[in-house]
Amino acid sequence: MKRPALLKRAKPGVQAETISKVAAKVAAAESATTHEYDMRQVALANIRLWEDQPRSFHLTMDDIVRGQIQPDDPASDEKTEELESIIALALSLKEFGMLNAPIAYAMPGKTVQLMGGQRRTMAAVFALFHVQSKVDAHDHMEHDVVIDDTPDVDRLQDERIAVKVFAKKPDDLTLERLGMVDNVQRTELPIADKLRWVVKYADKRQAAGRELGWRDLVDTLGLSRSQAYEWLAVVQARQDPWVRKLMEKVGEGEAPFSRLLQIARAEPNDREALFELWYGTRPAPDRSKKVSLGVTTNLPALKSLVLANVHGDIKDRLATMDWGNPRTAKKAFAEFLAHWEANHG
Amino acid sequence: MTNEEISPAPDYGNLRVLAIMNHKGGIAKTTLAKLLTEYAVRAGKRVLGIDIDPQCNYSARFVEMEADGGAPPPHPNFDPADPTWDELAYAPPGYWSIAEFFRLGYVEPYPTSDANLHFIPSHKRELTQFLEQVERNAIDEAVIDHMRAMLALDFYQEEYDLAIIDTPPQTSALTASAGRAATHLLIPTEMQEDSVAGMADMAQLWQAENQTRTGEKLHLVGILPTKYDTKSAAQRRTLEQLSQNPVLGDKLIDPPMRYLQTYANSSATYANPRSLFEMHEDTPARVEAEAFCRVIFDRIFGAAT
Repeated sequence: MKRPALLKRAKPGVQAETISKVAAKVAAAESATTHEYDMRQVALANIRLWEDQPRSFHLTMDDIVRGQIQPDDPASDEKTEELESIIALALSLKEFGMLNAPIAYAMPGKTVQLMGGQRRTMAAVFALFHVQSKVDAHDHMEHDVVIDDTPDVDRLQDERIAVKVFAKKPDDLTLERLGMVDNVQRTELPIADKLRWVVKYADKRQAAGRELGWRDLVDTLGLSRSQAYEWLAVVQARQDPWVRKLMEKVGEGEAPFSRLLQIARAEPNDREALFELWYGTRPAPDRSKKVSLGVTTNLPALKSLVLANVHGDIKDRLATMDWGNPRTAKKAFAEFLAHWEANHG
Repeated sequence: MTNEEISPAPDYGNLRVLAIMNHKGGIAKTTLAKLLTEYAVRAGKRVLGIDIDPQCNYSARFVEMEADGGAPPPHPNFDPADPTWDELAYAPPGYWSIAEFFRLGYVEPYPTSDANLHFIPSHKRELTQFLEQVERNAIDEAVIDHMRAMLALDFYQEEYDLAIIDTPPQTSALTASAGRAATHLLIPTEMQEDSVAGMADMAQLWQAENQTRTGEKLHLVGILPTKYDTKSAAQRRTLEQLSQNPVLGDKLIDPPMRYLQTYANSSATYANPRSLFEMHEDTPARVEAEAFCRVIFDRIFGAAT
């Protein structure tokens, strides 16, 4: 007779994940190198910008200190766009602090030469001069851009930010590796904070007649590019009531981000159904008795056992049922069980 | 971090320091240490055995221990009439153990029945006490960096070709000390889920050590499967999985250690014959031990020797 298999037998040996985890560790240990950098608090005045950075970039430190682009500037269009993203960064700096320190190498004296994090540094300068923070009625910090027409450049000597400083200029390979390490070491914000900020910021941008781009999210929240696209989908659907509801749930840790993404990407008409499907009040599960007789084949024995334990009407009824057929026997037994439970608890 | 804080690789000249490590207990670390020591002596190397495990089992194999195996005997050079003893700030009570090695920065290795083998035994009580006495903020210098600083002395470089360190089954300052001092690392492990997963922690320690070394890295000699039972399908499969892994496959030492009981018996304090390598040369355990010891030696000294 074939018995139902209850436990699936695991394959002998070690799980594949265990092995790959150990292998990754061993590989990392074997190729581990010394930390060639240390974290320093560097005065903004001592940070030299990266002149030959690979990304084309028009803004200069003067523009940042001034806080606005001169109308007669030949590259004024590009600069305005760049300044916008710097402002976004500056606001997030005020909100969260520097999530990811810029990279630099040491020059003679106190000066350091940037190799990455140019925009973050500029944002720190912008925030120093042109972002004002105040506490609102709900005890939240509010950050506003207020352009200071007469910035006091001496303050650059006092304001310090954290910078990863190498003792000497590292080679490209090291830099590339550091970029990867960077992604791991980024400070993790609670998802509720990220969501609240993203929505607020997107609203602000929209009021100014501009849409949020993926790069803004990469810079401000430390997301990867693919993550940023996912977040953009959420941001674009933020007005939808169902998306909002799910956002709250995600913020409270009651729903995974993947569901938020799914609902944001769904057709607007389908969102309610999706939400109901996940969190709506479901019909109570059917609690009516389902009985399994297992592999019992001795139905006559079952019948006599049952009949010996019941009395009165129900005995007659059960006695007349067809105990020879497993299906009806099952029904009869279920009825007996219900009766038994009702009488004996 | 200034340059002084980055410790370069240990500068030992030709001395190789092999640390046998795994923070799991009972996976034949000490047995392996004993076997390798015997093998190395027979291979003509000048060997220094160092036991930093308070259990003292490695010591008991080569030094006749006292106090139920917890303390080394008086050193043969010990002469109570010698006035220099009194000049020492801390006069050792006639013996030298690894506790003195840490406390005083000096120790006289014990001679053994093999002229090529000297030994720094452990001391159950003193070593434990020492570790309790070390202040938290001094532990780096007093324990972790200490062994490397000691072995870098000319004396050790001139006297020995190979130092073998048997470590306690823990990830403590003692183990870290061995890791810091070592040039080569050997990880014995059982072929089962927990032990294999535990190797990630060993790799972590290894990685941390390599991150402090600017020059020569700490080399992994290999991973030796121990207590290997060919009758167990799970163990066979685990070994197969490991050997198929591109990273771990290269590290595995073949053959695995199978005859643990024979090794344990042959390396008991009063074993007869004195060593596994004095058994008949067809003894399966001897054949196997010679095979994996040779692999380990080739990886430490280069295949030429």
